[in-house]
Amino acid sequence: VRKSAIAPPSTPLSRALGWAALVTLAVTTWWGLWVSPPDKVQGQFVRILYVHPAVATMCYGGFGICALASIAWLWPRLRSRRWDRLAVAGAEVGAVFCLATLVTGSIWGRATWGVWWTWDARLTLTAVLFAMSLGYLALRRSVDNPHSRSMVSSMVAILMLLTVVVDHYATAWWVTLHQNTTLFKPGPTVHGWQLATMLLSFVAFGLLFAWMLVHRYRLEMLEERFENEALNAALAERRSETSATPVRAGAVLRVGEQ
Amino acid sequence: VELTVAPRRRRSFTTRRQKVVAGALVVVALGLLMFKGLSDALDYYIPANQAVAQRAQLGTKDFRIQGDVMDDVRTVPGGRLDFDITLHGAVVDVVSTGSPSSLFKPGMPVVLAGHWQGSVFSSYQIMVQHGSSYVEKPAATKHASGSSA
Repeated sequence: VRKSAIAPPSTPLSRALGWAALVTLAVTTWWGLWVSPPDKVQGQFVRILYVHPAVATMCYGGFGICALASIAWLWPRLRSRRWDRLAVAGAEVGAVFCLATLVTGSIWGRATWGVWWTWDARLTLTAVLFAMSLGYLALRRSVDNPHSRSMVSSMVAILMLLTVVVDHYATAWWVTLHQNTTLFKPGPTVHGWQLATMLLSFVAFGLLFAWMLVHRYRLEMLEERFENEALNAALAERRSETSATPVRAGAVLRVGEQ
Repeated sequence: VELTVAPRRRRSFTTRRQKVVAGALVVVALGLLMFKGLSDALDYYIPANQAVAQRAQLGTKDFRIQGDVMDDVRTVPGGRLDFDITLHGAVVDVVSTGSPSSLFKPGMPVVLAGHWQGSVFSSYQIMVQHGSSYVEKPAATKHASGSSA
């Protein structure tokens, strides 16, 4: 593969995103650990609030992007490889944040509820969502035909989006141990430094999410380019081999017999 | 490795109808799986007042009950906790072998897993419930109680 054929690993925009994510994450850590006071009820455990809701939202965002890109791919007029790349990038980044959601939620649950895990609707659906995302990624690895792969994985992506919606409203629709929403409602029930740090955490993890998404998209693009280059090289080699002795249609080609 | 340039036979899984049927089957299977998995999770607990009203129906089967811890939490021989929970006027006497988190104290809402044993709720797990509200600890008491949460 020619070196010039491979795009540079980063662009000024992606570098700026990376630095912005790093700086905001550092400030979130500072505010979250030292500036923001403990909670009246939860004490120091409240500090997980500055990670868990933000990563959960990014998890939803990843699967949402995956589903929307998949719908765009399924739409005949919009069908393009770029939507498929965006879908897989969203799913993979979403899966990482989903795992982070489960881990941070489990730590908070042990400290507050007294248990690492329980099967309430919110937790169960988040676990189902994570399993679906792994299934989605496994599916993409197991189907060779690019068109079939995109078609089947798009359908799974839409199912994942439906699960995201149900997961988000689970605490409102059913009786759950997990508390209802704190921030995304009229009159949030968090104030002062706690609110400021929480909002900053959304910005920080949002930037990190965007940075990861951009790089995962580029990685997918590079993989495709690498495969195409390798295929082109193989075809060129085959043509040079067969130029002396043309092959009839339907004939059997034997590779590696030299 | 043998490669042929002859056209491949079409796979059987190609018609639109077959795809729709296969997709519908997957959706139904996932739906059933989620319904079965979530059937227990949807009604995660029964409020204490309802649990008292449904005591005869609930019998001795396991379920989760929710209420606020009342004053006077006692540790009885064997390391068990003896306390009462209340909700909407109903009071339930609880004996629990569970070990609660450090947030457990009178006034806190709890979810207890266990079953009725006569008029007493015999619990093996205590989960402290936390609402969606957060209140900063006043600065004056910040260092006095440390991480007493």
